[in-house]
Amino acid sequence: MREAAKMRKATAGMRAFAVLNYLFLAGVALTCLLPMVNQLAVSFSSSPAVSAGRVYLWPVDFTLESYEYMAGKPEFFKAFSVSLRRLLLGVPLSMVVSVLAAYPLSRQVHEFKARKYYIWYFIVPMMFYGGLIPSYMVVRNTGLIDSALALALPCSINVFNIILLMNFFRSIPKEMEEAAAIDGAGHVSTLFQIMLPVSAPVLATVTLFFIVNHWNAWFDGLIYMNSPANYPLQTYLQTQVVSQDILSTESLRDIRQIANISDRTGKAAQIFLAAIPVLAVYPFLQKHFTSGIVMGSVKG
Amino acid sequence: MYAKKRWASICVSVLLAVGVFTGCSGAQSNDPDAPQSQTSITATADAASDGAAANVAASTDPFGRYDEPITISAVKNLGVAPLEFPEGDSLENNVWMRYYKDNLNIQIDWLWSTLESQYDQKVNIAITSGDIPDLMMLKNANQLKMMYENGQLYPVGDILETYGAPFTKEVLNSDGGFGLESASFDGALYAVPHIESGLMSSPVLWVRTDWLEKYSLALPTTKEEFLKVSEAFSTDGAYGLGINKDLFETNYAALEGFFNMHGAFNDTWFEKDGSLVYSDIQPEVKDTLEMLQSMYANGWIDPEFGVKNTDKVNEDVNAGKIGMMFGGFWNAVMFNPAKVADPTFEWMPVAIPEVLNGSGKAQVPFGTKYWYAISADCKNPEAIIRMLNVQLEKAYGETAESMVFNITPEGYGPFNYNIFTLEPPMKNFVAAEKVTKAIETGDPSALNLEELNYYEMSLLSLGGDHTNNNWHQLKMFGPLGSLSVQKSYWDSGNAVTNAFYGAPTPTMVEKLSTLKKQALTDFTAIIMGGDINGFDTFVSNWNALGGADITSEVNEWYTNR
Repeated sequence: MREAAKMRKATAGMRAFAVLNYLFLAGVALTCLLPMVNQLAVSFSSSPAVSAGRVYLWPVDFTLESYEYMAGKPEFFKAFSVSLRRLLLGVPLSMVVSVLAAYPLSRQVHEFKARKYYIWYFIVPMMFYGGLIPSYMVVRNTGLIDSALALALPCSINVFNIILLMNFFRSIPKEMEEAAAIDGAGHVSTLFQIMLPVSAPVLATVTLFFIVNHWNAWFDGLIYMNSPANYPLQTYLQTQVVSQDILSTESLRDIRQIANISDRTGKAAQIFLAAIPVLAVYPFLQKHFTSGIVMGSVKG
Repeated sequence: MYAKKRWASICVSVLLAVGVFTGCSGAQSNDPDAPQSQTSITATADAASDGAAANVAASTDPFGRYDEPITISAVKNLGVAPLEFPEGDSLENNVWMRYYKDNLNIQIDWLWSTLESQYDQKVNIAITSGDIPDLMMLKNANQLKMMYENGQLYPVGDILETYGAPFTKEVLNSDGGFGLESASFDGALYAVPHIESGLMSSPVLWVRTDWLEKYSLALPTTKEEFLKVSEAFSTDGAYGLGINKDLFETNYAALEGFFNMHGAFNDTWFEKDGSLVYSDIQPEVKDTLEMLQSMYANGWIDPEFGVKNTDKVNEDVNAGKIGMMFGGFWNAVMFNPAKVADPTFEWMPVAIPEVLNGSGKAQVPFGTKYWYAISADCKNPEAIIRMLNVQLEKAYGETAESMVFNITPEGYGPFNYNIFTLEPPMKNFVAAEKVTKAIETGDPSALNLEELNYYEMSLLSLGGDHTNNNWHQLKMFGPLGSLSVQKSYWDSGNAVTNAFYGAPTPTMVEKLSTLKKQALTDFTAIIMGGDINGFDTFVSNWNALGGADITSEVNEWYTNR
């Protein structure tokens, strides 16, 4: 009897914990979701309602004005296409480079004697970053300034992602590689015909990381591009969303520029549209996400 | 085991070595008095003037044309939004660029361009990486100082004297030479200052006049009336005075005007008993804070002001929860949407109480906020002075073609296609006077195109169409507009100009921003009901934490200038 009571008590406590846990996690999820919903509501509301702070989670005085305004704003779509091009160029490049780096590093020491030193070669720059000015000078001196490669090349290596891939490769049963070796496969065919096909979870995860990295990066666009016409989307958004200093008289003279300052509905519409691509990719890659990141990190 | 240990010790020694090296180089580049940087200045300056001497065109005509085409590299701050051009034009090809090409034979090579919010960052990268264009606009004094210390600036004094047109010199000296002095190091001019009237940054008091009528009150002109209006406005969830969490420098729902009402100032150096003193530690500030504290206790200030930035306060203003606030002359642009939604929503900019008729004084910040820097490596620095001559002459001089070079009838703003955007400093005040007069007489014939634009927008607003910021223009340039309020401070002799206009002193660069943060924290605490004697602690801390050093550096500058 006493034992049973204890059990029930324990389960009650566990149940309470589960409920609280769900509430807590739901709260965390809401803090991510609500700002998005708010921006969506703002983008569909009238400008006076937004200026007066009357818009929370539901549009007030529903209007499509800000989206019509956006349709007449080529800069947004120009920046959008720069970002897309950056993805198409940058993500495959990053994947190829990362896989080619991760495979040798996943070999045993007897196969790859200098492995230890190569690992250090990757780990050290992960800890110590050269800094803004040296990076800028490297990009400038290699003549990449103002080109699409300036956005794709410097961030094509991400050591953290390489480690994820490397650990996943190591967790693949040795027997598969041995079988391949017996059948006469070299390193190239082992990698492409044996390892990669069974690595879908980690590949999906790393691809997602690269997509999000590329899509959200804005600072490199700012420093490496010479004209706002070449800015990727997030850099462009930054120019739009950061509050402007209108103390100088120049900006006062240009009536067209002034109209931009208090336009919060237009900004909200742009923020929301910019979030759509990543929102759209996520559900497809998400099912691989957990297994990819857990498997990739178990082995030290 | 042994191998592992050895490996670790190698690692440690490498790390130490790296630390030592970076430490060394950091100290060198940070020390302004390091001998290397001094020699490099003279060396590059000499080299540059030699190069210039070889290239100087024979004539010293301020508008002289070069026989051989000359290229000047420059960078462009585009302002708050991308520029709009007439069909077929661009930053590389527009009225200014064509004029420079045809009449001076100068081609501009834009190395990069970016928007206002990111300009500072790109300039910092350019300065640090040594990627300096021939001509670059600098937005803060620290950058100017850094370039001077790096030996990256061309000394422009001589070429300005030789090649500057009379009108150019007149505009550059129109503020009494303070702007030029702000760009001088050791008595030599190192950049062209952008002369602007600091008066335009003086605060005005914005008042909800429809509420004044509702409560049958008059516009406040004294402290007592100001308090009475605050009290009356603080009903039904509204607050008499709107302020934001940053308290100063935002020029919107800020406190400079409130301080001025008490004869106190913020972030201003002024003369007291023969030497310069810093405004924030003066005894008048204590009285000011005491009054703010009691207004807060009475519920006339939003109890949540400490977490509201200007955007949040602006929401309250638009929602009809704020009755008065101190801010800049342009503030109406922020609540124009509410005016469109509800035409009875009405504000009026008035002089800070006590300033025109009492012991208050309006503070006037230093007018030059940016500078045009010519690179020490520039081959033809005098060409840049000629470009400057042309800009001022064609936009505002005797042969000005305002419709072509300033604002076109279609509403484009070619003034912004040039790198130089200098203008006669009193231009906006003159425009406000002329627009006001034209509205009163109904005769716009004396207006130039830019003024005509303000006039027409104001008329639309007077006719009930407040859209497209028409109302905002009326509130600036129209009768009893904010610009005429600012002008009245000056005309009545009640303006106090910031007396320090030199380059930032070493301790200022290092400590002033921390001291300002301290002031913000301590003042906020006092307003929200803290001990008023906390102000005395603040003053002694301010002096102890570098303020005293800054004061003595400023006074050293003051006596030597």
